[in-house]
Amino acid sequence: MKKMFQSIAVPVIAVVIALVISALVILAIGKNPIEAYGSLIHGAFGNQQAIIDTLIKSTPLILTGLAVGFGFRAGVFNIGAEGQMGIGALAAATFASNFGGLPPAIAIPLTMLIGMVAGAGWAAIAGFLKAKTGAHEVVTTIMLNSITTYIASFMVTGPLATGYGSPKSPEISTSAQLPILMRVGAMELSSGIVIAILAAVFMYVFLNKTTSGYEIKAVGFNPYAAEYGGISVSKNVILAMAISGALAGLAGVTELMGVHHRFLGELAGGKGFDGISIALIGQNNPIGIIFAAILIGALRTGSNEMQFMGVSKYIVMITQAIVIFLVAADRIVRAIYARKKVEA
Amino acid sequence: MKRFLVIALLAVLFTFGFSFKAIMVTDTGGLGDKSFNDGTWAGIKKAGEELKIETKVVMSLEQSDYVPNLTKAAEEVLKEKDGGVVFAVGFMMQDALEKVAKQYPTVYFACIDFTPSSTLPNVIGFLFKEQEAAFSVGYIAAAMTKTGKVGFVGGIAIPPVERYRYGYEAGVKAYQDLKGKKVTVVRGYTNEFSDPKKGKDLAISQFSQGVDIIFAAAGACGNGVIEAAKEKSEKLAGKGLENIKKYALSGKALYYAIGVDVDQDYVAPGVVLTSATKGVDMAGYYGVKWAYTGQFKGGTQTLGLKEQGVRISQLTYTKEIIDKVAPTVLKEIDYLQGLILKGTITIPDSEDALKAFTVKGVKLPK
Amino acid sequence: MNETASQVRHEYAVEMLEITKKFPGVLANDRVTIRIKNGEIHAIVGENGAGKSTLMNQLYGLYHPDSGEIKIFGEKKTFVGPRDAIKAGIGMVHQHFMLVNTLTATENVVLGNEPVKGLNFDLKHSRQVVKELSERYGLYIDIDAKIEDMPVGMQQRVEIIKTLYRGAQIIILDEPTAVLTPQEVEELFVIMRNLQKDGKTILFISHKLNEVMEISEKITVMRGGKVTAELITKDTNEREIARAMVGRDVVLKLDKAPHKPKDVVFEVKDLQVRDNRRLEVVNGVSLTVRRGEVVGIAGVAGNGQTEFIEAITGLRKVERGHIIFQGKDVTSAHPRLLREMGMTHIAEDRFKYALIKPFPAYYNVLLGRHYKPPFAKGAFLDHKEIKRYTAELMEEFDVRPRIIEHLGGNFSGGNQQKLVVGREIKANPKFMVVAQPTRGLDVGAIEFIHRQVLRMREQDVGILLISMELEEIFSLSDRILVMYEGKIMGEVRPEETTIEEVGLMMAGKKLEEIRGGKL
Repeated sequence: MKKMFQSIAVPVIAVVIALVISALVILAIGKNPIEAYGSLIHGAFGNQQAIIDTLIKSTPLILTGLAVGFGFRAGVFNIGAEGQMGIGALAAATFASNFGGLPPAIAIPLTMLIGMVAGAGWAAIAGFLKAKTGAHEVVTTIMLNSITTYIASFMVTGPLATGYGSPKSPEISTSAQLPILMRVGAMELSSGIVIAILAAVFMYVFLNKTTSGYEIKAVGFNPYAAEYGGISVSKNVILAMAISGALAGLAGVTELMGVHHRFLGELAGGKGFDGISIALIGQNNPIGIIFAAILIGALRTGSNEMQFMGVSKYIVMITQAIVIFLVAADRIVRAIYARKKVEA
Repeated sequence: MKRFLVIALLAVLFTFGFSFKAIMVTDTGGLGDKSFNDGTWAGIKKAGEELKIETKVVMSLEQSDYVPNLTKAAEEVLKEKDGGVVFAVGFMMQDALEKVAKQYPTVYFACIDFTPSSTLPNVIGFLFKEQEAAFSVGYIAAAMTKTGKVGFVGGIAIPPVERYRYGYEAGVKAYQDLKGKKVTVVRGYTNEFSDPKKGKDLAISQFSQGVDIIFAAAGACGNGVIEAAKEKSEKLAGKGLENIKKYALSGKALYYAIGVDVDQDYVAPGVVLTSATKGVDMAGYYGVKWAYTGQFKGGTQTLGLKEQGVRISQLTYTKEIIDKVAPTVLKEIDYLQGLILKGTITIPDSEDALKAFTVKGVKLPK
Repeated sequence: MNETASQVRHEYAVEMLEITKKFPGVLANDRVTIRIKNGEIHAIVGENGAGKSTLMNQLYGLYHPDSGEIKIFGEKKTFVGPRDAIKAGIGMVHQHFMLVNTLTATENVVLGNEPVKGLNFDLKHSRQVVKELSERYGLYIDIDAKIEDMPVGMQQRVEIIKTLYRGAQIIILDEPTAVLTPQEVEELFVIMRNLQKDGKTILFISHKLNEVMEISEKITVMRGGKVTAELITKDTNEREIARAMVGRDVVLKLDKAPHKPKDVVFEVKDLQVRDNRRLEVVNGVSLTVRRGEVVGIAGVAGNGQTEFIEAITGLRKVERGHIIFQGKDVTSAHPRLLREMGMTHIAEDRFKYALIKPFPAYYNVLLGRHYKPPFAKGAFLDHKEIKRYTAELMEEFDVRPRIIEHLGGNFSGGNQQKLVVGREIKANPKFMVVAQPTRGLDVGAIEFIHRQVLRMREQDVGILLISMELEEIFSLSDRILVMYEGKIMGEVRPEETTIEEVGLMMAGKKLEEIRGGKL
């Protein structure tokens, strides 16, 4: 009970401290922090449009947060969610813009599956290299990120290029677009948010209720003990990376099928990296990750409203950085504390 | 608290007097790119001051910000008695703009660098003949290079960037044909527009391949290109315009960059040889003005040399250097620009046109 | 050096009065008072976590008491760090030596207090000083050998010389015999007596009761952070000490019922294994284990036992040779296959292999069988059954606290081991590898675990016991093999051999040589 309280209290306190520090910065630039935060909250939750915007922004963040968090639970640091998200969306876009004739009941799940498989395969490369050669996944996934960037630019300026203006793929067929839950003005809330929440449920059930989840956690906590218990470490490292990659791929797919409806050069736009902070704030817990993603999504949505009253979007980025710093700092403090206890 | 009340009161009075607003939504590059967003914003501000109307800028952090930011801007404009205009800067906003513009038919929208796929009565799209300015800088680069290799650093290979390149390469080709000097163009793309580091890396790699002048058409990445050239040249000549000038006038080789979109000559005086400027400020200015005066007409406006939508910079710092190294080049450019205005030569705006481009038949005046 | 006068005169070398030390959540020392007479060998015994090390670390200046007083030769002292303690004449030899492996014995001794001649290190003088100290107390070492080339016993002597070089009058030896062969232990005792003759005071920390009985004059027993008994060695016995340590009567030596071994269940033929540095650390080991038999492998730590265990349990690649289990060649088989066939393993390193610290007890008891009924239903874990089973296991093996959600890392050492032993036994093995089952455990837990091993023997399970504790090997094994540098030195029966004979094999003598010499 105490532990649960602590795990909720830490991020909440971090957010509060971060907001206080940012308030000082806002004061320093001569604006009223209460008004600024008022507009931030109004911008994020003030009306239907705002809420939709917040949810749209949170959807990919939930999924990349789950991707990274899942990796952490399995003892792998998947820093490549960015690339897996991109490759997932790219594969899905390539498919969905070419096979328009399928009915939605087939096109939607099939497109999603293709995006997830692409993300999973991409991440599994890093998993395989780690399992077989010991190459660290931080290095390999970062490299795969770069490769993705170039593949994506090549595709949208070459084989997939369409139309005038920005480099982009053609619009995917309407049968592969996610159903819209709600529409206000030009804002459309797709069912991507439902998919993200289902993914969180999946992660929770998989990790806590299945034997595979048990094995993956065991490998993450103590690979020696896992091997001793007859659990293949290399198989599970690859599997963990693949599932993590599938979740990241799904983030790309929901952006593609629910928001942009086409592949754009900067589709991932740093959301894969945001997943790291979100997993950290959410403490790798699926429910925590949902809230952390909504928090970040709301901060970003609200920041646009804040801009209309003359407070720069960078203030919000500062707030976000402080939250992450404090959550990470808490880990550092706890690690030191734990070591002292061992020495005693 | 008192101060806030006063400000609030002033704001109320202000809006009562002039109830028209111009709001610009940036792309993810944001303000501070010393190029595209900054240029448009300057024009909007200028119009705002002239017409005494309120202007605002909103930056987008990610692509999914475009729809909500444009929506919010349109809502803000709707609140005004006399309406207003919303600017969407940057080709990446095309999809978002089309969606939002349809929702708000009474709000004017102006797009810089792209036009909506179908004509909407409340949307004006400003396009530019970038190639016409790039032609001149390409010509200067070919005249100034000592290594016979000039570089091109693009952002993403989107049409405006490519038009810069076609013009640039056409300029180089024209110089080759007219002067018989062999000059090759090395091309590279940063695949984005916001990270100067990537521009710098690419520039350093081109310099190491023997390039000595680079034209950067890469948004904020171009600032990295300028920085790379500056570092290289300062190492040779020392810091400051005076040293650069002295060194260059003594006839020794230096490294140069060529700026883009706005006059970037001041960013590194002496090192930025010239800039191919695009009248994004003109577009910003006219966009506001037309909307305010009711002259606004939906459709595409293409601004070229003729409309003063594109030009090359004033050469404030480098005129002496150019005159020393290539004494006739500026005169020749004047002459060639005259031919462009007359329509005698057409600067290519596609790969095919570039291949076919030739200045044979043109005779430079003595 | 004018302290010397008072040192000689004062009755007590060390007085620690009413010492209290708290750590978050733990009261490590609770108003502990001990007085150690000048020139005596004083043993401090207690189970793990009794507070011995905390107490000694305060004496050595590593921790500060929350309250209480420390007097050295009658003078009140406050130590900010070990430097102050050393200045006051205290030396400590830690369980893990603090030596620089690439330096020589001499260099290690003088490190930090090097004699200098002008600006240069005076090696000649250093060698001379070290040699003198070494000869004076019978601390025989090769003063020019590098630490990495020395056996453990000799390294320990370097540590003792180091304390003497720094002027120690009071020497703390923290579990000094844990790493030694029986012969080395005897030699250490001779050295300790020499030191005593020269007026040094020695604090001897141990949990081996026979050693304490042999060497000390007084014994302080600690339990739960308190002193539970102060005994005079010649007036007490092991049983009384054990009772003070554990708080109840303890059976120190179990009676092993005669039991007839059945057919061979496990066999190793000419096994060769390399360690992580690719060195051959197991070189041609062969052995057999029958059902209902305990085969003990004795030896000093680091003679290839770890790699041998890893190889036969599927955790390390076999270079050459064969492992045959129930008639099937299982050389380099995956641990899961071995477990499926009925081999279980109580690992020597609990934290590396046997336990997943962040897992609750009910996940730790699952390890190795988590994927099949009754714990798994298809792809899902059956939490209800798992929890029921865990509660049952914890009851049966007396794991405390009896909280199935308690995290593996939060149990005390003895209870962690009970959890592991319970898990490996309840998997119904046909053959068990039992490695260092009682390392770091207290007397009560040792007794419990020994009983479990013998119970398995009676149920016709084949058991291979690997231990550094000779007593354990002797009291549990039906046959004893001794491993030295990756080879088996000989095989004996406990009732037909002596500690000395096994000790000689542990030091590298072959059985034939020993008996050949005698006969």
